[in-house]
Amino acid sequence: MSPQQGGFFVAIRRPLVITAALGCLASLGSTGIVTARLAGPAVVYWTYAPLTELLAVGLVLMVTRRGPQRLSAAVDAHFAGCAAVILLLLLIGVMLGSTRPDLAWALLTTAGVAMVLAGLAWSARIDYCYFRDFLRQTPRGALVRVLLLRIFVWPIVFGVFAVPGLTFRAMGDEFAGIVRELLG
Amino acid sequence: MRAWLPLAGLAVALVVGTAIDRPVEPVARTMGGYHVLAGDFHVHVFPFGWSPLSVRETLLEATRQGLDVVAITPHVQTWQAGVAQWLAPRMSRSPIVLKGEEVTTPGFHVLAIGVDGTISDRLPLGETLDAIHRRGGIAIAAHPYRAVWDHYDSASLRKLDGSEVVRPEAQYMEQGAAELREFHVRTPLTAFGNSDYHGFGLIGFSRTYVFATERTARGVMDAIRAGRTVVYDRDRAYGDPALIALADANGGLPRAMPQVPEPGWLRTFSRLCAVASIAILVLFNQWNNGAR
Repeated sequence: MSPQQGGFFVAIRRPLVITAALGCLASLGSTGIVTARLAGPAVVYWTYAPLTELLAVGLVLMVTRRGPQRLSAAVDAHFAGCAAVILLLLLIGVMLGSTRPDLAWALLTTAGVAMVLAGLAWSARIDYCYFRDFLRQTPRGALVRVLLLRIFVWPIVFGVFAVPGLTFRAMGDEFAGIVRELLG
Repeated sequence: MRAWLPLAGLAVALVVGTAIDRPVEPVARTMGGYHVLAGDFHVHVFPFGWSPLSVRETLLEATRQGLDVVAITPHVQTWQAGVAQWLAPRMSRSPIVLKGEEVTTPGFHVLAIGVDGTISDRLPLGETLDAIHRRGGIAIAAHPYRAVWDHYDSASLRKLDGSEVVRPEAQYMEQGAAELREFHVRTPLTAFGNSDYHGFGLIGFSRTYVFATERTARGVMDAIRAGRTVVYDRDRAYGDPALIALADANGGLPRAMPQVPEPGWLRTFSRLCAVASIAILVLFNQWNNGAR
């Protein structure tokens, strides 16, 4: 990314693409096709996920020395690394939307879990490299920023999607429930 | 790669997908003086419900799949169901909406249908069932597979109004289907076929036919309380034997399972085109601005 590239559009173009992808995924997961009836509205309310990420990245970058990089260019470069998570969601969405109900559940609790873990590790690795190589942070500084992003973003994104009430207790109950489901 | 290429692919997938997205034609069925309504009484929505689809899109999906009534049953909440009840009459086509909750505890899950408020998830089963009834609702055992049977003692079973005897995954798993069947016959219970819809797959994949005297939420609740439901699982039928016979005598009710994925080369094209376009967009796009 050239440090001269910048501007509002540069900062929001990849978040917009991710929002569009999430809307399409909602439609794909439900009907197996992308239809305006489902994807259009889903794009609107799934904005909360990239918006949360955008705010978190903006905050972290504002307290990070970026060298010659503009804030907008640094945000854009960060969102280029979200491909791992989008591809992961794409695979899971298509799998759930195009598979028999019994197979979908079996796949979700086996291959799905493996894919989630691999995607999360891949995503963390990309973010670490982003802070290390693109923003020239120390290994410790990069690790702290990767953790900060996840502590800020994941509870909100996952909580709004899945946790009734969005409280710490509910979050704990939800994770305990996931573990119980996976252990049978 | 320039951004417009995958964006154009996505647009093509959207146009094709929208063009082939045809709803099931609504069918008004009456038999023996009853309105026969197709229902799904276990439906989750976004947010907080492990579903990517909000209330409005979920109701659209229910209409598209030919459902006449749905119960919105968030986990340990009811406000989304309240939103659905407010929204349904304002949509051009929508099923009847019942306010519900899936009371979700570590030991058991119970559907509270037609309640006027949220039921706590910190109560033992017997007290949960009492609370549902105090709030004007009916209590249905959700996915009562063998693993949760220990929680249902005889006193609790007597308080239960119904159980899910058919579910989408059990329609392919003989062991699971047998467990649901065995639970259902332990005590007189109203039969339900629910999809436990989480925004993926087909809403109403398993469905309940309700024989209501009027096509309203009250009519549906009265019919359920009176046990006037029929549920099909391939060649088996559950529910009121007189109503099963009535349905058979009137040409029967649809019982075939939908094909998953739905067939058609245009559907396959739309799906593949969308997946490929999104993957290319997020993996290879350089925005044609000299970046990198």
